[in-house]
Amino acid sequence: MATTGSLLAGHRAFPRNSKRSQKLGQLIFVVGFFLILELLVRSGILNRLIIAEPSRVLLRLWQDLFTQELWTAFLVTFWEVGVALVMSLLVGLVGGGLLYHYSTVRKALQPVLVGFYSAPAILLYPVFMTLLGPNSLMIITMATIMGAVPISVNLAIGFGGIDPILLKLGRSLNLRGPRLMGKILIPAATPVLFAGFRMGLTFALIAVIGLEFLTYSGGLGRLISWRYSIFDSEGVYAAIAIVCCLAMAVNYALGVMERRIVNRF
Amino acid sequence: MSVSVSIENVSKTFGVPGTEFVAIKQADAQIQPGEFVSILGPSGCGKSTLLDMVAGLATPSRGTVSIHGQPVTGPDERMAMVFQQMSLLPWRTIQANVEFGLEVRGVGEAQRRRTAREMIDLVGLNGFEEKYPSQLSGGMNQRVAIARALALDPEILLMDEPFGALDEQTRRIMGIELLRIWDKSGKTIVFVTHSISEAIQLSDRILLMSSRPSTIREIIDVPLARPRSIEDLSSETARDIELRVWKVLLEETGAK
Ligand SMILES: Nc1ncnc2c1ncn2[C@@H]1O[C@H](COP(=O)(O)OP(=O)(O)OP(=O)(O)O)[C@@H](O)[C@H]1O
Ligand SMILES: [Mg+2]
Repeated sequence: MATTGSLLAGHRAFPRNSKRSQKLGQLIFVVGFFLILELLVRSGILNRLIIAEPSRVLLRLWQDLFTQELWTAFLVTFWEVGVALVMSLLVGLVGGGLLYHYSTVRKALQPVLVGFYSAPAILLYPVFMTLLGPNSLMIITMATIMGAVPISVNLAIGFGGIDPILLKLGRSLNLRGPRLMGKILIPAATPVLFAGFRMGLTFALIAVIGLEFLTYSGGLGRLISWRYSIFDSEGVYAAIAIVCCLAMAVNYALGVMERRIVNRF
Repeated sequence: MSVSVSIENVSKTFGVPGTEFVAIKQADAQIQPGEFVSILGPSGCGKSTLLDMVAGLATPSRGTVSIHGQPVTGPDERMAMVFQQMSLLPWRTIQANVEFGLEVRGVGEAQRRRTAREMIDLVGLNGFEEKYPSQLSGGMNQRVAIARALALDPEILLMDEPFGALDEQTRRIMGIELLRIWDKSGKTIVFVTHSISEAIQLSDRILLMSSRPSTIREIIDVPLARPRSIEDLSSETARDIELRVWKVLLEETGAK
């Protein structure tokens, strides 16, 4: 819950004057980091088998883009992630709604669910393996569960934590039902809701890649696992870079969605 | 003249039977149309609770509150409330916050914008229209809340310690502004405060509440001419009223 707290501070409270220099700083940091890494590996201080030079990874990434192997793996992962995200959003919203509505259930379940955040739930995979087998269905099921938990908990916390005075204001203006939702409840809970979405989507992504890796059932996770086993360290990092791109794309899309929604309030 | 707000034998208890807590016991008062009435009393005596019942945001456990003879059963378009707590919507600009009530009531955009600008001007926040509440001080935010309530042009304005967050000076000036608006519009104003001098500055009558179990202990007339100058407010009459209020309050707490 502490992670969502800071996001509650305000929607657009801070001016954006320093944004440019901030971006520049980030760029310098990233480029500098990879440059140093490159030097460390080239000079032999770091073992090439453990860490590949960024330049070689980049080259490999470029070559990979023209291989069937990569695109097959990417599509499998993309599909699994996509389905898991949509499913965890649906399950999370319904679950969160129920959790919020039945406040006694919330009080009983909340500690368990919050504990679930930090527990390595992915280690439950043998159970699901046994039940469903090492396939996409199993991966999607587990990823959905892992993604839905933070989404539903944050939804319940977000709605439950709305300042009572805002509800009173709504009541004094006779706002009810969907209009109350649209004008007060959803805008007030949005920062917490989206923190939940972010966390849920990250968890789902981790689950998909992690399970592909562990169960060797296909996708980018399996590709990483395979390349790892044949000491192809450039290949491993190239595939990891693609996973990172996927994660960034998903996060970016979510950010755009959030801004669109906030701007409509 | 018909009574604007009538509080008849109103009691309010909180909690479940057995461990219930009497917040207000048998309060009675009649407020005339166009009257400026203050509710004055020590912290925790139930001023907000009483105002909530007038606003239709809480139901009396016993007795009735009526507006022009009709019992209040819920929030009513003839009333608007300025809450004691910070009640602005943090995701809206000042302009959009002031427009909020009008928007909810379905007023068209152009009209809404115009009214909101006027009200922002009235509370002295020109130039802050596009700022967010987090960028303004507590006192400024409270003025936005006043503008939001005024924008609804209510017949009865309910204000719960609206100047609580302001310094003495600004408080005085806002009081004078409020009286000007009141004088022009002929609104009925019910104004909660715990400042004796503020109650004397503003009101026609003061409903003096006792501490628990709270009730309206006494209704004190403020027969000062209007508009009230600084001299009027330190005149013999004003000092007599202050003395009377103090006596009742001290009697209440058992002090001498
Ligand atoms: N919803 C509630 N449930 C239980 N008790 C309540 C509730 N609302 C108010 N009370 C109690 O009723 C009493 C009166 O509260 P109220 O807020 O009306 O006081 P007040 O006169 O407005 O105080 P202040 O000047 O500090 O604003 C307090 O003792 C408070 O604890
Ligand atoms: Mg109060």
